Amino acid sequence: MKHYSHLIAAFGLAFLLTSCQRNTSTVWEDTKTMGRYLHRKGQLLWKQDVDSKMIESADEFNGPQEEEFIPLRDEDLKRQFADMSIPQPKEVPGAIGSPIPSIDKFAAPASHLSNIFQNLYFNTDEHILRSKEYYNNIAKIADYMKKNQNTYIFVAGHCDERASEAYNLALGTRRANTIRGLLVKKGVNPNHIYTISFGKEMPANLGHTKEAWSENRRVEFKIFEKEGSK
Amino acid sequence: MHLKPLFPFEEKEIVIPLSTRKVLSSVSVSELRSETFSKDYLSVLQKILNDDLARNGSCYLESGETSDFHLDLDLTGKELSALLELRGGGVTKTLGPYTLCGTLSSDRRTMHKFHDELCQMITGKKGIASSKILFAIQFPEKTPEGPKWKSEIWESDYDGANKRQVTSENSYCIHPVFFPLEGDFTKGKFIYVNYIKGQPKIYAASFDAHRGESFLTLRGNQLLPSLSPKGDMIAFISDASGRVDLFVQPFSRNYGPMGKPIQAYSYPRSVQASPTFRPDGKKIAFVSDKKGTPHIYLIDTPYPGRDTSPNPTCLTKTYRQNTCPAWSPDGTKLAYSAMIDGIRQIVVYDFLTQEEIPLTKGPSHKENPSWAPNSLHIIYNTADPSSSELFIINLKQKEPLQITSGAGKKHYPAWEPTRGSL
Repeated sequence: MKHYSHLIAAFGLAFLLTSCQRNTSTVWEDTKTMGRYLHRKGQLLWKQDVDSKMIESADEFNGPQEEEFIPLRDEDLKRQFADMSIPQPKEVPGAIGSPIPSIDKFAAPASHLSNIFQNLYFNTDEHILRSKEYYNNIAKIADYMKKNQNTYIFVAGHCDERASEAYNLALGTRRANTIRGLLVKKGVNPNHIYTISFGKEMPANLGHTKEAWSENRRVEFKIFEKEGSK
Repeated sequence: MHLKPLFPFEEKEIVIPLSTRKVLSSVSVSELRSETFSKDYLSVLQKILNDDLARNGSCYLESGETSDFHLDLDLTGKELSALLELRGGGVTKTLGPYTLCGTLSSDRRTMHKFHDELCQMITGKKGIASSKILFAIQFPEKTPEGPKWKSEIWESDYDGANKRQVTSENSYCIHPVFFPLEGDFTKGKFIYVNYIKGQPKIYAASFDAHRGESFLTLRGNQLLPSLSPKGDMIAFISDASGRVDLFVQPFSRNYGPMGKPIQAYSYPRSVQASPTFRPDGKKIAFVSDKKGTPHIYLIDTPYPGRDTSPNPTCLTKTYRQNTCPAWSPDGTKLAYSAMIDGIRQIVVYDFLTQEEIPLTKGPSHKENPSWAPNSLHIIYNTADPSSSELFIINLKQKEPLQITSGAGKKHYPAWEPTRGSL
């Protein structure tokens, strides 16, 4: 009996040790779970019942920074939960060898998509969408892109004429990335969304009134349906 | 913040609100006469020289014998030379000879070079009349779907003459910048932002090639490039990380980009824009709206293996909407665009007095200032609803001079620096 009790004790100790042991794989799985949990909870706070984005690889989670540029240290980046930074897609549109063509092959939304890919508008000097209903548009776009995995889009950020050209180029970039971030939060593959900023270079309304400025502070969408990829 | 002047001996020249005549030298110029060229042609050449003298920020024209200097021009055959006399002192110096060819575009440049040597004699500093300007012209192209905006890069003399198109990308090209130093990679080239593939990327092109090539590998939008005067760094704005951040790229004039780009500054929910280097390359001024509205901040230029955090200090305190900073080549001033009484004006920040001094006035919005090599002249563009033209102004004579006209929106001017080579 004494012999068996030693065996049971050894087995129990081994079980306890291995059950607490964490390897790289489990840490990664936990991180994924936590990320999805936080994401979903964050969206529930805003009463948005949507699918969370499944992170598919460590590369997607960490982003390309380590390989492509020397990043700021984490404490210098001052990350905020609400300011999710989602690295740009690896494939450069139109580059030699890239499966994604240049913007010439991206088209304005066809008539059957124009209700989904509508322009979205902003307040002055803001990158937050002007109206709550635009968030419904984001959801519609996300639903479409999740159902149509061969869809790639350009999100083009535009500004009104009142700030300087140079600053507006940066602000347009910020607006386009805000929309990209919202779509990724809704589960769209970040590698299918490209941003572009035109600043105030390409106004939709050539007028100089409040109404014209209001129409020019926008993002527009251009769409490319890639053949044969699912 | 107090910065020591880079060139203390120039302190007198950075006092900005100068009254004009008392600090300028008066010059009388004899009439250009020759049997070789027509009278009309000679009057055009004379006007080029006189205009250069009147705009150089150091002289003004005066007829009669009370002038400080007298320039006696001599055109023998096609050889132009001159005798410069300091009145009262009995001192004379000779200029030239310069050979004219009878072709106006070429002789314009010769007259500008002649002026620049004359300016050196009078002021001790070479003139800027023979330097060039790069800028973008935007124009609508008619298509069946409606007007499509195009933009190409153009080059001209400093006074807007000899204008020629230097890119033919059939795309949207903006924000040209001269390379400050010539090497194997940079010789005869400039950089600009090109939208040809969709996302704006920084391209380098030869002045004669009409098409350029992307040379930075970073993904996303690459905007608002600036080169350090030593030519060893490019600063630019990119959203590679998903935020609108300031980046720097180590650079060699012989080999191009060296190593990876470095994320220099990022801040949540804000945009960074328009970097510009201090002449020694150790600091960068840039725009950030991290505190709500755009202001100009300074950070130390990061380098590979850095061990310090970016610690931006806000430079601009007086005006709102401060954008488009440009550091003067002598390091003592920063020009930028700021909102004053509802109009964007060009303002100069003096690092010695820490004052922010409006340089322009009037109803048009002004932006994108760029300094001439003498740290005295600035070129900028207006941004009116109906037109956008280039103007030059100098700190001593604050009357702006329009140097462009005609169709298209002219913007993003860049003044050619004094370029060195290996």
